Amino acid sequence: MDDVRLAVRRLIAASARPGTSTGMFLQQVCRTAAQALSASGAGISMMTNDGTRGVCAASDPVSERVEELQFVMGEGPCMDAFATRRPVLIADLGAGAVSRWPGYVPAALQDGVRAVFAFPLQIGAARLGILDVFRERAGPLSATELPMALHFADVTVEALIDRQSDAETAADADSLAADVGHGAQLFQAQGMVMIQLGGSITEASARIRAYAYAQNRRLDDVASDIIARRLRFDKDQP
Amino acid sequence: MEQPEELRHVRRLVSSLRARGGVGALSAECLGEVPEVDGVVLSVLAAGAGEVMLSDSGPFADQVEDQHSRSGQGPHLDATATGDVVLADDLRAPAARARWPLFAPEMSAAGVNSIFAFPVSIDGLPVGILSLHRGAAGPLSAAGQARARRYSEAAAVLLGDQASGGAAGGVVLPVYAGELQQAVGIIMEMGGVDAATALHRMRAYAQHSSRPMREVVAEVRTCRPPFDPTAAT
Repeated sequence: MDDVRLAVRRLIAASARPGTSTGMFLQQVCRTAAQALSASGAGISMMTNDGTRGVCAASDPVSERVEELQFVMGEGPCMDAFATRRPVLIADLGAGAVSRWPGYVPAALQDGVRAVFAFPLQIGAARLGILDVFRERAGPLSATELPMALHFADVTVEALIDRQSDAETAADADSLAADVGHGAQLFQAQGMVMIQLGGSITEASARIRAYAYAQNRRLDDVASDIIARRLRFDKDQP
Repeated sequence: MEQPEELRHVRRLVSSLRARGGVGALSAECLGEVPEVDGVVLSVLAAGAGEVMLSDSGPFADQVEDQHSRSGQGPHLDATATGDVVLADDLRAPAARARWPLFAPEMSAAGVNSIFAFPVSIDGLPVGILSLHRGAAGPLSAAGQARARRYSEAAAVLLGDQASGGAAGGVVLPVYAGELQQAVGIIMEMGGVDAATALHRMRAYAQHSSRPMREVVAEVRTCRPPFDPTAAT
């Protein structure tokens, strides 16, 4: 176990070199975790206390899709782990989990994920996000894997806090301006689509996300199209 | 270069702000620490979306922002263009009126006579503004300036953390900032106007009816704006 701890630290230290963006760092953590836990993949979503999603990362494209799924569906082990501040360990998505997450489970199974283990990234009262570990086969994490996964979560939190205390983190003024612009446009698009649908903000947000997911397009681009009135959503269309 | 003592102050401030909601909490905290002013606003110069307000406190924040975006003049724009602090302690004074001929008279007619704009810079590039404003004319005290500067540096650290994300959705807008933009979208759709016009219509209504902007935003978000979204102001 100590060997594993050391190996984990070394891997994370190597990926936390100055100039590495938080996104790249988290991706490295996901890859390392997937390998060490004989998982098919892993994903991390940073979240604020009110559940809004921030930076996310995944070990591979399929895991990124599955990680994204919870935010499209608005439900899943990650959401629950974040809300309850406890790990949510689902050794077999095929066994009854569908009644808990009726939208998420069939879609995850379709993407080939059979087991999901979600670990909160938190320290004291502060919640930073969630680490999700995905497996293609059913079955629990073993007696050595579970503590290792928890250790991964702890080390990730430490590394994130260290990065945050360093004011020089690869900050980029242009990307900030672009991100805030995209953020503002996404919210504006939600307001517009809400009126187009005659529904709620939640419905509008879900429709936009579902559209982006189905069309395999970036949410930012879809929002720009809505703002520019190149794309609209109507009540009677599904 | 900054004194280590000052850096420690900024770091402590960043930690405490982070625990209390980050940039969303910054304006109210800053106003609490600099009670000699009437209001504080933190905004970012967003690509393609003008100044996006991240947090505000006090009754005049929306008018200060609105006048900047309407006139294309004012201390915010000068501070972000130059990266220097702009202290406008009397907007009625001839010098201020000469410098901002559209902005200054409108602002003082709206009841704001001093504005102190502190650029928020990342890697030396101004990305936003922390602005303090007051109804009465008069300078900002040295202690007030030092505190405001500290908050502007804390804002840069908090925003820098998010900017370093790189992946999709690197920056998370504070809850109210997001709600304000949703309301903008609702007026855009109902009024058939662009974002800047929609935001101005909401702000103009709030000002003319002397209602807090937050109330107006909340009503718009229920799809029942208290004003005609199609009517020009």
